[in-house]
Amino acid sequence: MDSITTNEEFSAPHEAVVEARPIWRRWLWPGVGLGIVLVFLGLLTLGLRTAGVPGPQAGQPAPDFSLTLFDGKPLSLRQDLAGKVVVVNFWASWCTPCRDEAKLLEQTWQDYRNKGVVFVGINYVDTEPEARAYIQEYHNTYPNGPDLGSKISHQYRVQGVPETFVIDKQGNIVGLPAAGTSSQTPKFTGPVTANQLAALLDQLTQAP
Amino acid sequence: MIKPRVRLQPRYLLMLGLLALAWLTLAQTALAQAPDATHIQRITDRLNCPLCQGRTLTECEIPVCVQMKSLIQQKLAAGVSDDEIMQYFVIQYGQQVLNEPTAIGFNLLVWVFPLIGMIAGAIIVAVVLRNVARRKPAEAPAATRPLPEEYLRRVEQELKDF
Amino acid sequence: MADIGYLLIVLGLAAAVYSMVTSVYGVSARRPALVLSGRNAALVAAGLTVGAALMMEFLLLTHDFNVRYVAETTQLGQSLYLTITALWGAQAGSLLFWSTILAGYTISVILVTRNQHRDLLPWATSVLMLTLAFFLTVLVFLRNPFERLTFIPADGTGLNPLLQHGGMMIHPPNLYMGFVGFTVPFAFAMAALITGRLDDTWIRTTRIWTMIAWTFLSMGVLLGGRWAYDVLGWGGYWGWDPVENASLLPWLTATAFIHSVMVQERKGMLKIWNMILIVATYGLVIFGTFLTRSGVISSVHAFALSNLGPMFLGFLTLVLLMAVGLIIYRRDLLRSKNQVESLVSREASFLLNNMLMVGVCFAVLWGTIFPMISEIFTGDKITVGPPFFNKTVGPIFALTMLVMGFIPLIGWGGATTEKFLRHLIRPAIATGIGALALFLLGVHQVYALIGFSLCLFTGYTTVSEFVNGTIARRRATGENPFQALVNLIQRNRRRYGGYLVHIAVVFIGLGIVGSQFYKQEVTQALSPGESMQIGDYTLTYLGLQQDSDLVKQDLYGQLMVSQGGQQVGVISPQQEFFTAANQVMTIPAIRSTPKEDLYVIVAGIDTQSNSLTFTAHINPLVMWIWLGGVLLILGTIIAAWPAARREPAPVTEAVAERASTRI
Repeated sequence: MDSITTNEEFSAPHEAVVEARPIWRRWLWPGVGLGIVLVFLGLLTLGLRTAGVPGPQAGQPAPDFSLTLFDGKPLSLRQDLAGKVVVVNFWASWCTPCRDEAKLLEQTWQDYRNKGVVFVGINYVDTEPEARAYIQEYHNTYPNGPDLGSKISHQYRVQGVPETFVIDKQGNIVGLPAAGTSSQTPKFTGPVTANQLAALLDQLTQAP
Repeated sequence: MIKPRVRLQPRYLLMLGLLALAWLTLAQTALAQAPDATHIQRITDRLNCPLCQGRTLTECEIPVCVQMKSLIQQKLAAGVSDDEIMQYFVIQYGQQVLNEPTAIGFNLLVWVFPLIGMIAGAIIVAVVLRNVARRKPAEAPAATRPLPEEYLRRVEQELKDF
Repeated sequence: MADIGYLLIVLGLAAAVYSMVTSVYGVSARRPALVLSGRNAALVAAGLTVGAALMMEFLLLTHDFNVRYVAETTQLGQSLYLTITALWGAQAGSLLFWSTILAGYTISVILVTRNQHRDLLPWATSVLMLTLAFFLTVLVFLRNPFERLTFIPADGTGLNPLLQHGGMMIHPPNLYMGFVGFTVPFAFAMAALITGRLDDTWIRTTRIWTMIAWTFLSMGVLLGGRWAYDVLGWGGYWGWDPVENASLLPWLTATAFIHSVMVQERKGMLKIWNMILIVATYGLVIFGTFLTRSGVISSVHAFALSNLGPMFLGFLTLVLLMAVGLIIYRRDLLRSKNQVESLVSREASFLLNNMLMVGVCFAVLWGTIFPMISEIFTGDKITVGPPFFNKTVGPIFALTMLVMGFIPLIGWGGATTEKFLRHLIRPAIATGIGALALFLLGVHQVYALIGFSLCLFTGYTTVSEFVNGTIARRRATGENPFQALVNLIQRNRRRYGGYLVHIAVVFIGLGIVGSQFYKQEVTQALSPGESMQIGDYTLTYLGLQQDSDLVKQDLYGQLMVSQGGQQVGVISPQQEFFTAANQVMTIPAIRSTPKEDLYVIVAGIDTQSNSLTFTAHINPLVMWIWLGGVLLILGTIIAAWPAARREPAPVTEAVAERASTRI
């Protein structure tokens, strides 16, 4: 009796007929099946490579970024801020802990702006009117701009706000001690405290 | 239980056809009466909460979403068109803010592939079943044969197995 | 103690590898002693893995915060059940849990089948051991759950607040039991392919293990939905999140397999297809584990970006290539002996069912990985959200529902078209009347109307099957209706159990359609004494309640619910603030009735004006989803329960029964 399954290759009634088929027909469906599996695995491999690009790491060069500030001026990390100590602060107007550190950031910036330190505020997932109002409210004067398309926060693997990265004069991410382990973390998670930041900046500005 | 009163096939077809028609009319009327979402909701339904995955702006009440919604309201009041609003949000938050990718360019593939898959599946099943239909006339006489003992046994077996 | 735990997994790995090698070598070299040794080694490996899990439980319960995993998932004052369930509350532990369940399955398989399948079992064992060895390797080299900290913290950080919920007890274990369970059918399939013994024995064994895994996975998926509904507080139960999709994918292929395997048992057809489905199911299980742990696709559930990705991808590649290679190698042995005999036959409808299930699977898989693909080729991150899935999967599920409705109308081997149409008339009329009634009652959304009509149709045809069968039995035996129904089901468990599952799916379908198309939502800020309206409910805010323990602070907004002017009770949606994790959870209060759920959350707190913002949802018919879940489990148990020996029914009665249900 004949047989029917999902495709003709498999429905060949007898061995003899199978053998009589041209080789390409005999291998057509197995080839297609194998091909699909290989393409699937290939895509996953590529996806893994894309996703596997590591975020900022302590001691490694900081990912470059450029943004348009709220006042309309462009700013690029590598071009405009080379040789300076850079404090990159991710914030949002809806973020309550950010408000805890807002004044402190401005204060510290005022204290260190003449010692080769630049603060950059990056506005993370926010709405423009509220963001501007926030800057007004806290009188933040350091360069500040929206993270259009969430590109920078993605580059920096930002998981929430506030997060603060510090970049040294050589353009590398400064490693910070992580609680509980001997390893270092590349960022402050949560609001920074005055002592932490000031101590770090003193050390970095004095370093060559 | 329906007793086999009528044997004429066309009549059944006609009845079923009429039913289908009545049903379609009903559906048609329903379509015309579907309630209208509010203007702002039509936009927020198409946008994602940028922070919580898999939730639309409509469903989300976290602060940033509330801010985004009020921004949309402001823009609508200022006479900005829906498309411009969507575009603005894409620039602000990236493509991922749209909960359905715009069907242009590469992203068209997200729709095309399942369609191709379904069509291919349908063709495969159709081919398999057509082979059956083709063979059918030859088998037709078998159906009129009286049930042999062996068949009864098989029926019983089937019942037991199912 | 932690070091002993680590030692256990290292030894377990060694035993698994030893078992794998000796089983394969023993069976190829025909050395029964080695095969036996391999089997015992498998039991030892499984035992050691279980031992490691018990050791972890011991560490968790004794709050040994020196162990990093314990410090990260428990804290003082965390309730006992959460401390126990912390075993699967984070990555390393959940991998250990995975291995432990696999160990459990391995032990059961070996004990249950030790005297059968003498030729298959060694191979199946080695495939099981291959999987176990892989997971233990990950534990030993990449994610040691017994890793120690350099110091002893005074307290741990506690379990992720999202997981601090009663569902944690049952949802993940069910899901894992389902996921891991598919390793067994895969192992037997591989064994059958390797030995070339592709007769019916392996498929019978495989069917039962697939049913077991499928039942757990069904429960796991449904409980996951319930969990999201009860804890996440956005009013929905399914968000097409990658992790949810990962659990759905193997469920779909397994569902297809459960159906098409009947065609193989009965007709000897679709052998290659069934093999593909088994392999696909297992592949999707590993893929799902990969997806949720590699960080390839971001998800709210996903464990953080990790170096596990390449390991899992490597393993996935290995098993897929092995399986596909074997299928191709054995494809001549897998040819069908039979054919579909009629267009209008159960075989044909199962074929359709398979196409639809695999279609859904493909669409979901594609939608899930598409953001990744898009990022590879265009560099843009995009979202493929619920609208995509609803638009692609919705219609396919609707078609599936329709096919399901046809099933009782047609038998194996087929019916003539005329007979089929004749059987169709009653259900069609009933559906028509029902749809009209729904329309008059106010169901005006066209997709909802279609969805409800399909549920109605399938419900009608399936329930008729029970009714007609009962009537026929009563006529034949004179039993009372209840007795007749019970006997009817009992004599034909597989069939009627299956139909019960179909009715369960109708329930779930009703719930989904109702809640998708008719949900309402109102958000309003209330000061004490004020009230808000939603549907025919009036919610009056009574006041704020607070309480706190070591782990969290709870804040309840008490609301008096009246419906149609009548007070029906007080509900208290709450916000839980988890101190250690610095995270707020919004826990809804749900008032559930068969007609609809009233679902209220505290959306915001304004301490200055002493007001709370509430979001109230009405989710119609949601309860039917959970009812359907219960029925689904019941039906599956009835269908899968091993049949007791019994006297064969007299032919005449059986035929009468059959005839009566067909006409």
